[in-house]
Amino acid sequence: MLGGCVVGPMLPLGVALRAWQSALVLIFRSAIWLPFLMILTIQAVGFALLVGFYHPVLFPVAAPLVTLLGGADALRYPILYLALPTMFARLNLGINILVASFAGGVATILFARAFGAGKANGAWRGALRRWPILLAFAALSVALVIGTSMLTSLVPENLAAHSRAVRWGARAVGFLCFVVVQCYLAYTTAWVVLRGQSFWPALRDSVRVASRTFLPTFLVIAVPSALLYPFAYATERVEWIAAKFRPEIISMILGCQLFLELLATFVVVGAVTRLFLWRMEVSR
Amino acid sequence: MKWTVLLVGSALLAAGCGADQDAATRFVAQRELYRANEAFRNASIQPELHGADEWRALADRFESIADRYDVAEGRTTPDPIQAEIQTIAARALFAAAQIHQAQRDTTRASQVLERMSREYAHLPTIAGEVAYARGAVAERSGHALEAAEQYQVVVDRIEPDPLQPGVAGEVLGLPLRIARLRSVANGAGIDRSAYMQARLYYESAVHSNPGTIIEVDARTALAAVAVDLEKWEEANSELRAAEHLLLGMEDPLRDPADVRYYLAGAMQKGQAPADSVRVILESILTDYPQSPVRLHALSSLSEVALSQGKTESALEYLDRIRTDYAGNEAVAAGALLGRARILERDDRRWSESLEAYRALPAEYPVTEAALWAPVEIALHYMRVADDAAVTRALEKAEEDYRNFIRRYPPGPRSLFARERLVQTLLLQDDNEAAVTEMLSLGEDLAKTPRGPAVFIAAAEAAFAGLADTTQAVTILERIGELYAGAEIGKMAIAEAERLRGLRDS
Repeated sequence: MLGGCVVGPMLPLGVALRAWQSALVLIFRSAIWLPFLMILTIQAVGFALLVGFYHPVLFPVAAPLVTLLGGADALRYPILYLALPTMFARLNLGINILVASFAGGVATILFARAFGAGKANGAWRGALRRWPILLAFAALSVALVIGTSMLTSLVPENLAAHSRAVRWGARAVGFLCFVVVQCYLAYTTAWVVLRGQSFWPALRDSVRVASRTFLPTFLVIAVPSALLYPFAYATERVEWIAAKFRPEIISMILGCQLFLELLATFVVVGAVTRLFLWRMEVSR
Repeated sequence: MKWTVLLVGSALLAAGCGADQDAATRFVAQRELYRANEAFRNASIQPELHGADEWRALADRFESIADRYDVAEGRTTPDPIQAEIQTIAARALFAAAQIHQAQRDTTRASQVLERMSREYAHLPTIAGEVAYARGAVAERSGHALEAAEQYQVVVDRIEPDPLQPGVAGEVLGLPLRIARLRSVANGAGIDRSAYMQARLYYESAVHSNPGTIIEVDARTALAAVAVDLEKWEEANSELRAAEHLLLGMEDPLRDPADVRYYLAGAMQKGQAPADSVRVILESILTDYPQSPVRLHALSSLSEVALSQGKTESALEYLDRIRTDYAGNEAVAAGALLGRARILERDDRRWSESLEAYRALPAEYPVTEAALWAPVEIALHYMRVADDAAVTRALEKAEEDYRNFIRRYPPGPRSLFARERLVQTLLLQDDNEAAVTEMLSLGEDLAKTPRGPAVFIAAAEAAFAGLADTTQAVTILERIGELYAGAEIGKMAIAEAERLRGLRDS
């Protein structure tokens, strides 16, 4: 029934809205939150280690971590807060590859079940079995995002420094590249954990599904990412924020970003799983 | 996964065992100093809004940082992180000393600086900064020898860097200052050995820093040494070399016109022929027409012409200032006031002078020069002993100042007008009104260096002019209350005690 909606003349925005709605309906299902809370807990521990490295209990582990991620100068005030977005982004890369890949697999299975697909038990075990492939996709995603973000560095520095339009244009292109990469890789997790595919078939089919449902997929990913963009922008202006307010504000911004990103990830994973299942129903 | 977590955790723990816990202490100390500095900066935006208690609390906050983080006290060979923590503690004390000085609590400021030099003598930069601050305090208090000794510590410990803010930027000027202070302390003219030391220092700076701004500044200082030793040719040659260096630099950092102007000053001081000085000053006008020094050159040319008795020429230079700097009201008004003052010296040209004085409030109403005009007219009539005109001029001046104060909002000009009003009232022998005005003015200027002087003048007028010892005592007690920690406050209390004794006996 719903699959008919996807292939029919329904507007991509309507499809995206229905997909978000399907995910939001499940927002109070505690079982689905578990993998997300696992990511949040690990991120929060990492974040606490970075901002509280000077605490005697944390110091033996946290000081080397700060030095590793931000250099010896990051052990100073207020440099710690100026380096915090970079350090946390580096830490997050590791968390995304190692933990979020697995948690995403679990969440996809749990969402699929909630939408009436898949078996009743073994979501964690199922994702664990497919973890090596999920790790490889997470690494690929990170590599592509870093690669595309480096495209913006091709803009000559003095041109960007003198033109606001150029600066915002480069940011828009970077954002667009990020969303497009995420769109084409969005269905890999579903293909791996729900259909048991290996790396290359999953990649090929994810690109194929994303191409066929490009606009709804694009909207499902782009809108939450755009809503979170002010935080990403704020972390680019840390020196201004530290000078204008207090350096500690930067850690508060990152804390808020962490929490809102979790909500956005919940909605995006749920919505992408819903789109995937609709697509599968149509294919049948 | 389990193994990865264990491996990463073990690696971090192993690294952590080698980490220096002092880095955590340094972080917390830096944070506290940063926040205290932030509070200091915020309070310094409008210092008058903050009471003495608030400033004292801020100084206490800085001192408590130093107390808490003086973790390496007594360690004269601290490791780099401990040295940084000591530097943080020392900087906190330095800020506390600055606040005490600004609050005129010289006793407390000296105690803090003394503590710094006792505890942080092994840190060259801190020791240099402390010595510089103590030297400045000693110099202000008239202790020339002590000031010279403290400045010598700075010269010995800190490398000169004219482009740096703070003490490093001041070092190059100190050997000359030391020589001058030692000469003052000698009380028998120039201390040639001190000047010789200064000269050696500057010559060494010239040779070690060829083609740099340090060479320029060292040559300028060598010229100043030569001027003090009355070696005019040497001064001339050093300044020309410095100017030549600056002209050869791509980004000179100093205005070559400044050096040329300094040369003219040196020649003037050396009693060089006025025409030679005039030629140098005229060359600034032609060679550096865009330089800010041009204005000073025009003003100096006017003075040189006046010293030669060339009144018309002096007036012409002042008129050029008025024409060329018409957009700058304060400068143009200053030139017109200068014109009026020059003409006032010649009784035959009083009408022209009076015309200039009267033009000032009309053309530049909100300038200090215009506010001088009414009282200067009265002073002229006093000089020529025209009593009726004096009375009229003083009445007019009082009216003008009161109108100005009523018309314009409180601010620097209004305060200046009130000072002139006090002067006018004292000239009118209206001591009662003068004391009332001075008390009100003193309260408004209490947080500025002019405040104590106004209160003391009020106490003097109450005692001598009104013969009102009780009021004089009350005013002195108020000075004691306002400047409790400062020398002036203690002196006022002692004087109040003395006057009370006189009155009661």
